[in-house]
Amino acid sequence: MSSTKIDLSTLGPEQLVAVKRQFDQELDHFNQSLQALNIASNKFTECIEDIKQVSKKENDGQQILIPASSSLYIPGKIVNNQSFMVDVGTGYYIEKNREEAITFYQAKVDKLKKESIQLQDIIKEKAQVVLMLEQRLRQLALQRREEAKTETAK
Amino acid sequence: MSSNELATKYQTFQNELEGFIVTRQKLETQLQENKIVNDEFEKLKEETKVFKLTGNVLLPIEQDEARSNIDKRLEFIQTEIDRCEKNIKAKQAEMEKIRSELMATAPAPTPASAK
Repeated sequence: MSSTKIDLSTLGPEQLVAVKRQFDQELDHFNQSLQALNIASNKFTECIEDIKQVSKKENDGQQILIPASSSLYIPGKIVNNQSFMVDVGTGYYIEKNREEAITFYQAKVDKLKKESIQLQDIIKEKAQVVLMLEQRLRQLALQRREEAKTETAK
Repeated sequence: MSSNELATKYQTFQNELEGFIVTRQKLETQLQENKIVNDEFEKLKEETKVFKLTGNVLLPIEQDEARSNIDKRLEFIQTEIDRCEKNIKAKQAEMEKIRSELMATAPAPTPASAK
């Protein structure tokens, strides 16, 4: 993150536009990241719901259709509805029971929430700077018009 | 070298640098993912079963094997990151050199033209 402070009043309009463009790009990037975080968070929340649903008492021994591919299903039966395979990343799966699996996903959701709040703060800050830049640009444009007017009046 | 050639060279270096940075970011993502998996392995109970997704099938795998796999991968990614960082630094140094050469050949832009 660039932390060097630049006095905006020392910049010309072209430079201001360049700075603004950079900030706009950064904003875009952060907004995309925020969206990705929210999507991931929703996915994990869904996983928790699924676990709760499947592990209900009445769902033990329940008939299900197992996807063998995206368009082929095989009839099956839940043998143990308290045990889950959890994808921990890079292709590794760990067998967890209901509680462990829920804690795992809840930790993920909490972490993502925290990060998304941090990101929102950054976005707010950047948006404010962009607003400031726009204001300064308008000011400069006005000033320039005034100058042109006085020049023609001469 | 003329300032034109220098400028083209600077441009190609800039592109190369961007390529390095993209690689560096990808490596960082991989590193973080592997770290998460590693953390999860640390918390395993002894009797917990671990599986590896191979193609479309989950194959059971020994915890020790899984652990050493991840350790190796973390090590590999770290060396890749170090290599990438070195590349980035070298490229930046080269670009800095070209920049100063450009400054020397091209007359400094007058403040009026900058406005």
